[in-house]
Amino acid sequence: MNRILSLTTLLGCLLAVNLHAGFRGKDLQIGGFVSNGYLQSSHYNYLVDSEDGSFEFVELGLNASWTLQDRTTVNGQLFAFELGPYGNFEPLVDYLFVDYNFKREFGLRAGRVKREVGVYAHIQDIDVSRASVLLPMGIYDQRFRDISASLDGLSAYGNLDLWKGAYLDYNIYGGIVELQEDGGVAGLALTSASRVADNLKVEFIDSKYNYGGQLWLSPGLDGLRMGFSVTQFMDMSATTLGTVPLDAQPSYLAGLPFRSEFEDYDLVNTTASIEYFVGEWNFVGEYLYSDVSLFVISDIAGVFTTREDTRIKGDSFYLSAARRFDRLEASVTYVEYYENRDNRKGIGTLNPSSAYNKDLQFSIRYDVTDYWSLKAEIHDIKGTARLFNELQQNPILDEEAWTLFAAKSTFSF
Amino acid sequence: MKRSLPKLFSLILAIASFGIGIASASDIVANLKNDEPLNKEQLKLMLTGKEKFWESGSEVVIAILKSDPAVDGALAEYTGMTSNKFKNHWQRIAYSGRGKMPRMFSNIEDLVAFVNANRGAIGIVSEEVSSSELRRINLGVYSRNKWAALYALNR
Repeated sequence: MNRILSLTTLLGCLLAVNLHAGFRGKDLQIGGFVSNGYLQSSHYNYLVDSEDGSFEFVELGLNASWTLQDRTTVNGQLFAFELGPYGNFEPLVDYLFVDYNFKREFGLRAGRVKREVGVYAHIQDIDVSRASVLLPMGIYDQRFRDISASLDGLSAYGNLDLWKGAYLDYNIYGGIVELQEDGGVAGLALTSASRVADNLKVEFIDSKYNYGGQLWLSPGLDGLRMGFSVTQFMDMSATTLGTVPLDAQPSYLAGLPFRSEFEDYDLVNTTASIEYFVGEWNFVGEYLYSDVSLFVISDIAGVFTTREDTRIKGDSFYLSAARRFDRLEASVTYVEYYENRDNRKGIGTLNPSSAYNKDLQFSIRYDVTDYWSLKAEIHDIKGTARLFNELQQNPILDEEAWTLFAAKSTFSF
Repeated sequence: MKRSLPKLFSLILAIASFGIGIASASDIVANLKNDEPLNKEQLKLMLTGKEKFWESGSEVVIAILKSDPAVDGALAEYTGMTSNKFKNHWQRIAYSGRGKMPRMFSNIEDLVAFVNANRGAIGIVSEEVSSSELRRINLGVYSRNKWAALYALNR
């Protein structure tokens, strides 16, 4: 058994016998979590080497909130993770910002702030906030956390009164995101080149600005809120290098250097969300519309150059229902994701099943103690979209239907 | 005779609701140095993390007794959330740096000491707390008192 899983289990057991983690001081509150998961799939490797079963699914977080003075807090979280080839336990500052709350209607945060997009983007690492192990793929993808979790800049937020019992929460933000060479965007760039080249690596990757905002309307019915968000990433670019495969045709191209660049990569994501909790039930539905435009230049040995302006409009939605039974929680989620909504069935493409992903997911969570949760879930998936191939982990996409089993143990304090 | 039926009905309601009241009776308490007014709407905003500071600037920190049916009832009344949902709601806030987790206490003595030590603390308790220890906040008429008032009107 993986050492981290053992550690999580040990910590959970210790907490089960009431070793209370009382780390909170008067103006300082410290929290954190350690989790280890297991992924096993019937076919394909998703996130990790899941076809053989893998425990390389670990998250560690340590956060603190310190009240510096009246209306001013400093908040931060150190985070490290391993998700197959991603993360590699390199510690990163997930967020670190100063928060000045002028009044309920207006506050400012400066530093590395969380990006509030949809229900889960800013809490995607917070395993205890949901019943499922994995968030709906297509809308939330942990591989992209280098651009989706936080940004360096400013955010403004507040809560405004509307009519009686109704209010509006807003959050607007702007700043810089830093793409990682082993992050999701790099993985996507390598995956797109992996069908035509070997020995690929990212030579250069860069990004500029990200800005956006989110509104949450609570119309006055307890437990109901409706959200709308728009976020734009501007001027992302990457260069990947590789070689033409030795079995390529025509054969005189075999072994020649291959280069692919994308630039002016702009991404606009628009999300509509609804969440309703009533009693021990929790219902969530979200729709994401994604508009990508980029300029791609590819060449072989400096010649045979292709230049292409590309624009792809994709979308995704999910519906989820969860029910609590004291320490037990069960949920069912249905997700559909389309790479290109103008060609939902992938007609005319090399791998039609890569155009979509339809996932029916059943999850169960059991809180062993207040600080230790166990989860398990099964995914019945049709489609091969979101299967990366930057490490040749999915070289052939020959089956449309596959299943994924996920389990996770999380200790939080 | 005409008045006796409503009187009997009111008496039954009052007795029944008194029984319910005992099961769900709870008090909102605050630090003695905190004399700022609080109504039910403001309490809801504080308990849901929308209002993070008192008017004076003191940070709102929530203290509740855990596994207490009366406190769970108060949370349901003031926030519309079950205790599980309340915890989940605050985990979302605290783990993303947007607020501090409510403090959960197993006994009233520790809760009283915490509220005493934190000017902005607000507590939900099910047991009587001496007014010399903490300030009991009057949010208006409780449902238990409403039925008692109805009974009184019909006498």
